[in-house]
Amino acid sequence: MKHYTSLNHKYMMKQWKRTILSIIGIALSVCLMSFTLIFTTNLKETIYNSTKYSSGFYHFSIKNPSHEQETILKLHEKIERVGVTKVKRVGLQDAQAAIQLMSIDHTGMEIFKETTLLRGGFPKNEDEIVLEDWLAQKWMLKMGDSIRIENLTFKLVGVSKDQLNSKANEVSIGYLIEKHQILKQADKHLYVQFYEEYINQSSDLNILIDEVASSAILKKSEIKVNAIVDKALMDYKSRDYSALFIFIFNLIVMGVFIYNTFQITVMERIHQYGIIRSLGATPKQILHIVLNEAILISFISIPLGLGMGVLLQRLLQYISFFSETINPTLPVSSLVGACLFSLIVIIFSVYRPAKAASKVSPISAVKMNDTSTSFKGTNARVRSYFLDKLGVSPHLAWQNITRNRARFISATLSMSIGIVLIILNFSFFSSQDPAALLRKNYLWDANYYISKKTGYTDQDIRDLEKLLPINHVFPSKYTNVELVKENNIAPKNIQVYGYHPEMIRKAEAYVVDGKINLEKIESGKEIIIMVPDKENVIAKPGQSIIIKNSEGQAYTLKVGAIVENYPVGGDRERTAIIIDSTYFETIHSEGVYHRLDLAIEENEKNHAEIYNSLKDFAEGGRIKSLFENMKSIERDFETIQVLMVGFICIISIIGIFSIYNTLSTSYLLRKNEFGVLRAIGMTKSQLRNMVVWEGLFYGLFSCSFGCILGLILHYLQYRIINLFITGFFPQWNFPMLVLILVSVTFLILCVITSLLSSKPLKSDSIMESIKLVN
Amino acid sequence: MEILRTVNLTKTYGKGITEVEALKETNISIQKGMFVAIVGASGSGKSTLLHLLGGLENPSSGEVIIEGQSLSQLSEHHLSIYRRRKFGFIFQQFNLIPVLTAEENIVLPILLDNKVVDKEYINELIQFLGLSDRRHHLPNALSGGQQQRVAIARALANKPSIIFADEPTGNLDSKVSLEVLDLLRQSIKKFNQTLIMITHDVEVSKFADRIITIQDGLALQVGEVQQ
Repeated sequence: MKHYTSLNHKYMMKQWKRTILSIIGIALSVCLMSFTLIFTTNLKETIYNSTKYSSGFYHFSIKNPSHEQETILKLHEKIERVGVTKVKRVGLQDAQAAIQLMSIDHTGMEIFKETTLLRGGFPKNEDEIVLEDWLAQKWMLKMGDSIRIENLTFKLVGVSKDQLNSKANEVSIGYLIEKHQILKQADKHLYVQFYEEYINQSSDLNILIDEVASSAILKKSEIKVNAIVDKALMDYKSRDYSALFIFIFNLIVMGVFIYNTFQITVMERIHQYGIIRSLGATPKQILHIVLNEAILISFISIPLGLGMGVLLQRLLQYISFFSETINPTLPVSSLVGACLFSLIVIIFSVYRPAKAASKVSPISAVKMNDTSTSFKGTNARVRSYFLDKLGVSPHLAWQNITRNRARFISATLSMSIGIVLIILNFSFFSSQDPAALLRKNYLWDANYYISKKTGYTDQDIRDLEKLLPINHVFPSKYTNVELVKENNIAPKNIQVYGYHPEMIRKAEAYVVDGKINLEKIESGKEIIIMVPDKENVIAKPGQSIIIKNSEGQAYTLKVGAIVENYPVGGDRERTAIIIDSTYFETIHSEGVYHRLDLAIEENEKNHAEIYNSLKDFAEGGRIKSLFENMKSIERDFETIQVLMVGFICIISIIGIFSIYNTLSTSYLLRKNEFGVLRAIGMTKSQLRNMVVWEGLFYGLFSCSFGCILGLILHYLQYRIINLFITGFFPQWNFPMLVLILVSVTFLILCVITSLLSSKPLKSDSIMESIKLVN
Repeated sequence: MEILRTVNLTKTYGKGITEVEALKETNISIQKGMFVAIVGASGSGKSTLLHLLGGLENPSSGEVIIEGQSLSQLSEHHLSIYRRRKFGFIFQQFNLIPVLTAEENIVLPILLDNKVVDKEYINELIQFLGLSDRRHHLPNALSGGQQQRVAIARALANKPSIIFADEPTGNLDSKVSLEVLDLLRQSIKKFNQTLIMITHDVEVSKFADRIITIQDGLALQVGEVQQ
């Protein structure tokens, strides 16, 4: 031995079981943290990237820019690329579809990644065209076939991937060469993409856009931000609270575990520390011995945990559901941060026991032969109750577990955390209603909706009612109009919904201001405004608003009532106008319903039949099924559940390790007492009973504390989540079954743990046990 | 009347080169109601003999017969029960259970036997040993002498036939030692018990009716003390 700190190695080797247990405990925590970090980072990255692929890589676009503006944008230091497109919408003889003729330059191609060709090549001549796959299939076109568009004949030279919702809206993009004659007078669009480094540096995309807009002399109203990418960017940059929760929770559990382990380690060696002190070691040296051991364990367990986390992520990616969604990258800085945090928590947790070891008086430590010096005893009534009612073994067990309250609390706490998590997890997954997340996408009790650009007629509805067991049909019309403001700076697009009187009558339940007068609404004298919240009211009841339809005709509409959370087919986070279905024709004359929400009697058996019938009926239109959505969300929930179960298992294992650690050390320290008890006639079965009771007490206290805290948190979880997602928890259920199962399981685990940890004692003879100290 | 007898009792620890013959063939007989002192130098084998007599360790060969019952024929379970009913133990380090009060320590062997505590007898015992005002105290609140008195009371609680004492005064000063010895003498007379006590203190051995000297694992002198 070259240095006094080498004692660490000897201690670690001697107590190799404890050392391995500590290493496993820390490694599991670090594994969980690193896995969570890698998983969430990759998930966010995947979502962000897939959003960019589906909506284009650009950050904003402008229509018909001046030559000067285009030049400034192309040369701007923060702008990576500017794509140029020319777009002209043309009608076709086949009323079932339209084509958006588009020329797109090379940079534009890069920005719109989704334009990747499925077959063929891009047009090189005036008479060549590329169409989306769905239209090519619909018209059964082959390469080289001719198509007539606006008196011009085009040859199909390529087929591109379908754009998002293009099939449902029945508008295909038709790609032409860059400077096609037909597009000479068409609108020019610039798509601008910033350098990623500036995007990462900037806290808000709009700040960057403002900066560019001012240098290119662009009006704010001329800029159209890519809202999908903007939102995805905000989500990407936002702090991931679920990962943060797991991270903090894990650090606490790890801290408690390490504190507990080292507290009992110190207690176990206090006699030896006393000897070392009596030989001349300073308190600082003792502190170093303990801290060095913790650091040494950390240096082994943290990299081990990190490796396990990476492996676990790769393994899950390889074998399971994550393979499609995760493009693996290692968030190195976050992982290094996690390791440093773990090290700090470990040192912090060890510091107190280490300090206690350093302060020990040499004489008292050498004399000390049990841990009872600080024991004050329990209340006389409690003592007599245990002794009289339960007998000697439970009485002794009770006195034993309460002899060191700090150790008892830290051991039960680490297991209680596992119990709390189990209760929260299983209560959450058993009482939540995923339909609540989806229900808002359907009108009232509808479980299907179908929509298509060309719409449905009243005859279609009657046919549908004959075809399927439909309880209700909620037909709606919608269009986009321009809301003209008095101080007209930035005109705003707003959705207008045309509803039947019976649907408007339902709005009375959602009124937050004003009054619904059905007669006035039917005659178009009044309208209803749906707002996402009371802060966003564009006009009050009694006031008028002016809207312009797609043909530029202006209408002045008087507001009758303001409603909130009223079901609309589109985005409920945006303000919308609700008018009568008949009056709707005045603003937007098409005579069809764009969307039908259907309440159909459905079950597992007839779902496929109903879905297929509707699919045929929709004729290529969009069809959404609550049942299908539910299945999809349930799959997502299952994925989360798998992760949560893994997380809980690790936390519970750490908790059980804590109990094992506490009990085994306690038994080791009380070896002499065990010997004495056996000497004065305690049989092995009585001894085993005492051990079982100790395990039971640990289990009972952990379960009681965990169950009470779990119940409180579960109730809060129910209240808080319902605040944000109405009806997510339809009702609060007392999770009796979970409580019983978790309690029984943990009690059994505690008893098994106590029996396992006391096993070495049983092999010792009575005198070996007594002599240990004497 | 003979209460205890050993037949060719030996004890060997370890194997091969580490083998130590702690007790060589020993044949002793002890009469009921006697105070027997086992004396000898440190490491002579006196503790081994006491542990074998008390059934705390198993002999390598030979047997211990108490009131006609061979301890070797008892299973561990029955030996435990036999010990708590027939024997009382007093250790040098007192070995009280730190989480139990003085009174709880005293009644522990009765409780282990699932018997109803004879409160009158225990009170008498506590009074006799001068522990009345300390009965509800935990061991760490008692002095060495008081702790040893509790240990004696515990040894007497089940009214055992034999009390085994392993240097019960080894950790006490001479004044307290004499008090404890006097108490032990008085109690075995009062309750008609046999006391087998290890000591290396010549003064202490003078209290005994008989002395067994052990030297290098061999019971050298087996004789009665002329008082």
